[in-house]
Amino acid sequence: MTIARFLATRLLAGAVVLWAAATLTFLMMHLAGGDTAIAILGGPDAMPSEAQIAKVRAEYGLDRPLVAQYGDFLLRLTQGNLGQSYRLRIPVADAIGRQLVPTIALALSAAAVSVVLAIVVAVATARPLPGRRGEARRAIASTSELILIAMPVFVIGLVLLLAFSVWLPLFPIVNGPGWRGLVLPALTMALPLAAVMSQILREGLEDVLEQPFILTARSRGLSDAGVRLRHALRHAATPVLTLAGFFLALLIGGAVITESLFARPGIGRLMVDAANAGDLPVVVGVTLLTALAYVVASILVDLIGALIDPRTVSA
Amino acid sequence: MSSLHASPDPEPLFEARSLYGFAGHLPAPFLTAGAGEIALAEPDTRVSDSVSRLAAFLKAQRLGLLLAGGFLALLLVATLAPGLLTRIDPLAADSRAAFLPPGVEHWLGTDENGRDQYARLVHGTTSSLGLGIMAMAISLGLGIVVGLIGGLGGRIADEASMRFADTMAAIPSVLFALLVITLWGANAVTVMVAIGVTTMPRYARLVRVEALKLRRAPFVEAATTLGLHRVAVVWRHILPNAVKPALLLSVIGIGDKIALAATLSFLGFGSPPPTPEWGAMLATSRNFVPFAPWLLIAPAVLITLTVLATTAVGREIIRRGEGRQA
Repeated sequence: MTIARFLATRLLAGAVVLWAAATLTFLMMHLAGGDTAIAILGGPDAMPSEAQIAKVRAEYGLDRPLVAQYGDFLLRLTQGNLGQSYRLRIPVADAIGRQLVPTIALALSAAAVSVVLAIVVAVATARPLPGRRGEARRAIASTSELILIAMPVFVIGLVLLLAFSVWLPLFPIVNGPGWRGLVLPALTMALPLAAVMSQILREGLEDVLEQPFILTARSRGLSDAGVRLRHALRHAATPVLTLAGFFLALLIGGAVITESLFARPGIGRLMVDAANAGDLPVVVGVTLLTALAYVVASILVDLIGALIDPRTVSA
Repeated sequence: MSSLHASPDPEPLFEARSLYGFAGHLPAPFLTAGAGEIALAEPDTRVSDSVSRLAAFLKAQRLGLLLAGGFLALLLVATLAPGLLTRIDPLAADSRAAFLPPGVEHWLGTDENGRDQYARLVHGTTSSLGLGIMAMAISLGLGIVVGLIGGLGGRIADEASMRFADTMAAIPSVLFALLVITLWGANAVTVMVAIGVTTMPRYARLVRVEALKLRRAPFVEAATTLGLHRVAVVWRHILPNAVKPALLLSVIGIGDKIALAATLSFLGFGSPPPTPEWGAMLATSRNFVPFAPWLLIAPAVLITLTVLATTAVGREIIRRGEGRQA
């Protein structure tokens, strides 16, 4: 299979997943019932008149058959139209666009911190280790990883707040300006991610370090650190790369929690506020956008993997 | 590893070494570091020393498992009969007793309304554990149905069920749960169903792979040849075997689901206020962190221990289940 064909099949599979996600949300919206026209007019508390409701129904095509509405829904999505927010009275795409930058900044810093942390911990604690102190180091690392994976993200955030805002007042409790306000939220998201990554990386490293080519590298006089960083890490990194989509989902899910916990602006906060206010178009918009990000990330990662190691294409 | 419990190993030294975490490249004396000079000179005592160390190691493993199991048993007691663990009413407010630090009268201190935190945590176990177990059951049930459709149906059914699983995987659990809550409102049932549906793909994939394998297994073909009805073959022969790996994995999954339910209740989508819930308690504790840190620490430790305990017990179940299969 050529790279082009590989890419084509992956794009098609991605499109199918996106279509399925759109269909699923559409079905859920109609299963849940509730009068969309009344919701658009501000909910039953706003007491809209019959004439208003009829006008909105005609305007939004809510009086048309379900199949036609479904077609409209899909067509609008392909044009990037996610509808109008009930609460903010602006297009959902604009509402998301305004909140995109803080979330991306947070997610990127968390991703960077977690990658560095995972590499350092995994490289320093992968067997073979020199003696008992190395083993002790490994035991401490893997126990911390287990605890961090067991802790819900919001608990990690709260513990960090207690430790580094209250006991050691280094960082602001609520979202502060500049990099200081970013440290604790980014760390909250990075720690569980780093724990999962370093577990996988360490396992990969320990497999690779038993390979003959590592012995060859050692016999050429390369130091242990050199062997690990220059030769073993590259091979151990592939399984982590294939999980990039999973990590992205963890990051976005983590952003929802972290932004609410630290009162930061962003997509996650937008989502929680919208869910609280019953602002369905925003909730659906953020959900579908996340699915899109997941699909794009998975395709990119597969493509990178195929370019690095052509064997994955034929498999 | 499990063979070590049952029968004496032909090469105990080797097993002990790899179990104890020593890599083969170490020179021999390091294997018994700290064991004394005589042990180094006598190979036989070295073996027995390693064996006794192995026994100690296994004992330590058992101890952790025992603690985890005991903790889960305690949680079960708190769920079924909270009155056995505390007589204090978790809703009894007393404004004069607000923000009391942990002490003899209030073991884990009191909250902003003067309610006893220990009692609230004990009574909050029901919703957390119940939600986790129910969500797990929904997740497993859906996973079995979708997985069997994929594994036993035709090509189209297989594609459809697996694309459905892919789609669920593309939407982060928290987001999916928020979508369901926006549509159907925040209550225990919607939260349970949302968590169950969003965590289904893992089990569906597992059941599908097993069903695909079993479909071509000799004993299944024999049953079909003998004229057994298709439904009977699936019900009696395929289902019990296909479900096993997913079932083994399910205890570990309960921890994830408890964590997710607590997260939603932390975000404000749990039961309404006076009800004691771990996630909601943590959400309010945030406002009082500087002067009442115990309101944060106790529920945080409790949630973490709960997830850790289910993981430890779940892993043991998987280990034993796999051992029997092999």
